[in-house]
Amino acid sequence: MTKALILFSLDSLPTTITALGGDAIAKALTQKGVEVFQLDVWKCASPLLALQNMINKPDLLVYLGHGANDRLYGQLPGGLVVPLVEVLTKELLRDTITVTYACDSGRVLGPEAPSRAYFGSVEPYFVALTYPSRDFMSDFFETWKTIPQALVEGKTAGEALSLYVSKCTEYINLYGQHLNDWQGAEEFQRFLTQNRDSFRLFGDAGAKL
Amino acid sequence: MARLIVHLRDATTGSPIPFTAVFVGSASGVSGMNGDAVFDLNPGTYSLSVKSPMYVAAPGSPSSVSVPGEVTVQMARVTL
Repeated sequence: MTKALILFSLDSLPTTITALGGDAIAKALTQKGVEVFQLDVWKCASPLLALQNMINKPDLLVYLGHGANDRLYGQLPGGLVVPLVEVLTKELLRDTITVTYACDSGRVLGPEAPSRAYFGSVEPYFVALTYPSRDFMSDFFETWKTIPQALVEGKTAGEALSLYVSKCTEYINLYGQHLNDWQGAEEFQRFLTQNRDSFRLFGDAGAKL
Repeated sequence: MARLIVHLRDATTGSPIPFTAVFVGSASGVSGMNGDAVFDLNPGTYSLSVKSPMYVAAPGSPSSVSVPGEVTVQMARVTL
């Protein structure tokens, strides 16, 4: 059985949203028969990831939260002192397929990670809010679910990235049709375009779970 | 001419948001260090929008303003 580990922090407004997104991904993967482990909120920390790897190493690792060029912070403020994963502790990612929804996590950590395949953004990464006229937050969750779901269904990392790009494009086009009647459509069209265009795959594009 | 003051505030912390573009009708301005953008316009009602690389106007924020007057726009940070 495929093992997935979902990691998410909860320490700010944006991570309140990614926490909900992480939960949505966990539920979606559980429904597909995946054995899902969760390290959330205060558990989203380096020592517990190391312990998880020793006890039940995941095949798929999904992180949602704050990031920077060379690190995934995990729960703040602890993550500022000892990040969840940084270049120095990149071995924590070895042999997993790693999906990161975080700012800049593809810049340095992406190319250096010993993951079989690593997904990350080379620019700031955006979350979305729910407005009376449109639930942009749920739309963004759908884009985030695309890659883990595709991998679990047996698709390659490269195919999963293509599906993510297609899902983003679908919503970008939809928002473009409602610039005058959905408050926030213009902003979230711009933000989602950046989420799509700055998202990269490192490692083996043919990797499968 | 009459004065309009637009206060930009972080919805979570209440902190002022500086250096952010504010559009009132066809006029535009940038918020200062105190998070305020000041306009001198003819009295009337105008559309209001704010553009930021890191924030978005929170749901329910005003999309129009009356001049003279002042309005606070709560901004939600949307970058990780």
